[in-house]
This record gives sequence, C-alpha cells and structure tokens, in this order.
Amino acid sequence: MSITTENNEKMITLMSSDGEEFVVEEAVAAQSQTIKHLIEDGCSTEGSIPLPNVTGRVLSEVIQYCKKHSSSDDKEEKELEAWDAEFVKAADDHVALTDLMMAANFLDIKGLLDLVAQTLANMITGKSPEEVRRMWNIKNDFTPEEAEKVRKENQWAFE
Amino acid sequence: MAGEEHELLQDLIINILSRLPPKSLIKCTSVCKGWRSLILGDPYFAEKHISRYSSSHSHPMLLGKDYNKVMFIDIDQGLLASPHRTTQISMKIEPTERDLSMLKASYLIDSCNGLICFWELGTNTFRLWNPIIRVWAELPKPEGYESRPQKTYTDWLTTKRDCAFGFSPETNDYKIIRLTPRNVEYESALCEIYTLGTDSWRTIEDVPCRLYNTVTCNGSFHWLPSNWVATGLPECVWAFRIGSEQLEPISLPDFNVEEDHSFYLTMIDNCLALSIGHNDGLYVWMMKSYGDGNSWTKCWSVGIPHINFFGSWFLTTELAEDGELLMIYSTGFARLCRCDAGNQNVLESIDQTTDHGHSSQVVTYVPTLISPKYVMKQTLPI
Repeated sequence: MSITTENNEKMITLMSSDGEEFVVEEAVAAQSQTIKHLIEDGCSTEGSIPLPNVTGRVLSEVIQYCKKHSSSDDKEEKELEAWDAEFVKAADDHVALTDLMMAANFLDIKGLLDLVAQTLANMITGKSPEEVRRMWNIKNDFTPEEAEKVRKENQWAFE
Repeated sequence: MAGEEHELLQDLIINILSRLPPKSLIKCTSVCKGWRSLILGDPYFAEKHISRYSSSHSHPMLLGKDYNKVMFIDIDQGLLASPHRTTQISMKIEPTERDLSMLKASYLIDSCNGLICFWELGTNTFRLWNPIIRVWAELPKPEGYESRPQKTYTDWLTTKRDCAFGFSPETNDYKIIRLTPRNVEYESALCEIYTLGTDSWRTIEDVPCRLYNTVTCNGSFHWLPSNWVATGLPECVWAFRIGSEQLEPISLPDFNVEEDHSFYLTMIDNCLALSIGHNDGLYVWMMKSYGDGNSWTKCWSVGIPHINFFGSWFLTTELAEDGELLMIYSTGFARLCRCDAGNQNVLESIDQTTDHGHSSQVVTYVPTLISPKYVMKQTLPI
C-alpha cells in the first residue's frame, strides 16, 4: 500500500514484530539499506513491509533516528552530533542499546550501528570482566585455574 | 530477536570490541574463551581494531627503550592536552623474565602497526614484539654480517641506524632493511632486505650510504646521503619504496645555509621534515606535499642555545593544535620539549624519557593486536 502526501512524498507502512504499524516517508525508511532493497524489489506496493525482527518500541526509536538523519544536510553536522548524543542517552541502558544495535544491524543502517556500537564500547571501557559478563549474560567458561592463568598473563591491564 | 537473552551476534561483538582501547580489550580476554581467542588470535579482528580504534587516535604514542625497560608515553592525552602537565606514562606493561632477557641486549629499530622490531647485536638476531598481546617472534638470520668492515666504537653505538622496519600498503608486506657501508669512506652500502613471512634475506649491492636515521612514511624508507658532511649540503633525500624495492631521489630546495650546519631527517604530522641544526638552534622544513620537491617550506626557527647539534639527534616531532612543535632531542639523553615557533623559544622541557646516563631509543608507537607470528606466517599458538 503506498500513499502520497500533499508534498508528493511517497509514504510506506512498516509493521513491527508485535503488529504495530508505522507510516513513514519512503526517503526516511530508505535510510535502512534492508528496506531500500525491499522497496526496490517491489515489496512495498501491496500492504505494509513486515519487519519480524524488530519490536514496535525499538522500531519507533529507529524511525526517530532515520527522520532526523534524512532531514539534515551536511552543514548541520555539529547539531546532528549533539542530537545523536542525546538520542543514545535517552536509550539509557545497555539492554535498550543492545536491542537498538541488533535492529540497526538487521535493517542495515550504518550510521546508527556505528553510533550505538561506540556507545556500548564506551560503556565497557574500564569495566571488570565480571561486569561485562553480567551485561550480556555471558557464561564464564574458564576453569578457576585457567582464569587465574589468563589474568596473570595480562596483569598490567588490571592495574 | 527482541534481545530477550541480550545475546550478542558475533558481528556485533566484533563491532563493539574493535572500538576499545588496548587496556580494556586485554581485560576483556578474561570474559570468556570465545572473546579471548577473538581478541588475541584473530587476524581479521586485529585488522578491524586498527581501522576502528587505532586510526581514530591520530597521535601515536612514544615508545622509549632504555636498557631492558620500555616506556609508553601518550602524547595525545598526556602532553598535548594540557599546557602544564607532566609526562604521562600511559601504559605500564610489566615485562616478564622472558621480555627482560629479550630486551636488554637489543636495539630498538622501529615500530609499525603495533609491532616493535629489535635487533640483538651479539647474536645478530632480529625479533618482533607485540607487548599488548605479549608475543615475540624471531626472524631468520641474515648471512655474512661478520664479514662486514670493522666498525669503530662510535659506529657500534649508532648501529641501530643501520636498520629500518616498515610496511608497504601496496604489497601488504612488512620489511626490514639493513644498510652496511662497504668501506670506511662510506662510499656505498650493501642493502639487505627481509620480507616478513619469507625464509631468507636478499641483497642489493651498492646503495647510497646514509648518515643517521631512516624515516618511514608513505610506504618508503627515507634517508639522507652520507656525503653531505663533505659537501656541506645533502643533494637529495633517498626514498626506498618498500613494496617495489626501488630507490628514487627526492629533490631538496636551496637551504641557503652557512657552514657547520647539520641535517636530520624526521617526520611532523605525517610529512617528511628536515631539521637543520646550527650554533644557536635549528630550522625545521616540512615537505608539505609528499614527493614534490617544490613543496618544502620553512616552518620553524627554534632557539636551543645549549644544544650541541653535532652528536645530538632529533626525533619524532608532533604538532600541537596551536602550531607549537613538540620534539624529542638528545644530547646524551632523550628529552621531550615543546617549542613556540613565533618567539623562537623553547617553552618547556617536558621531561627526560630516560633516567639513564646514556642515550635511550625512542620511536612512535600505535598499540594494536597484530600478532608477530601472524605476519611471520607462523602457526598461531591459540
């Protein structure tokens, strides 16, 4: 289903994994390489584009990012950087950021992927291995002897 | 997806971890086995880390070696950031017994992509070290070193200047060259070349001799011909292309200098630069556009009256944002100082990078995860 607005902008409908529909300008949605290719392949002409990997909550954040980045041009770079910083701050914790990063990866939005990856990297910097494991439920698969050996080898990083 | 388990895909893990500074990354090797082998043993990840982390930190560190100690000094955070700071030793890597034994009799040749190249004089052994992942690799020995002309004591002290270590982006090869003067008149040199990952050294006869150091940039080794001492002026800069192993001259401007000047090739902000020492200080020229002999520009005139230019050397220089020159010079020891170009003053002598009475060796260094064993095409230990 495609609708046209007053300014002749073509609109398309995106549907999240939990059935929420979002009507956005095609230029905004095409910030996602994945959606862009779907549009090019004619998948948007009938009904909405289903995005089975992205929840409505995450998709609305992604659309916010895409709107901002499709309406700004290069000379507003400084302002855009400040906006990006606020945007990831609003996402708040590593769980929300991880969801956002997975969506950016699936939708193939390079700018958003880089932004979130850098934010998560900054979060990890300085954290202990225990804290990092807790962030993503990573299982510690070292035996106590191995753990001791690995830590000893890299003692300088812990000082 | 929905991140119920907040489990991360491998691609995303690589994307996040490749942005971490070395110290945090090494800490992360304790998280789980998968992360450990990714960080320490995956050449693809090491390349990603260079392109994401290392290249976004434009100022390299300084790496100093003094007997069996190594020091890492972060210019970016420690020196350029605030006007009144002390030298910040940004990474303290406690050497192991093995490291100490490797370091003490070795000359620091240079570092490139996080790999540090050493030459142990007594055993004629070349080694590569990555201190971040703590891996050493030994190179095949060049032949015929013993048959070279007997050197004087001073020559022996400056032997590290015989060698250079660098990378060619064109052929994706790391190479070491060693220039050995054919005779005491320094008329020509034997050039020995080793490509990492191969079994043997190859030699080129009769290459122009050099004096002092070699500067590696733009995929070439550069040096000044040694005969300027006799003629008063170097006639060119020799550029040895690391990939093609071709030697080409780069022309120099008329420096219009009087007698008793000394010339030292260096690098400032990735440009080839020449410092010309005189009785009261030095002039610094930069080649603004690489390979263009017409682009040499006189950029600084620095007064350092107490310096004895003959017998001292100038090394890595960096530009602070306000156009001040940060440089290392040595009159027996290495010293880091900041110079204000306009007023021709040395603003401050920041620190000695050594507490020994003899010359320490200093090069620029960017921390990476590249394994010496990988570039040597040896099997990885993990």
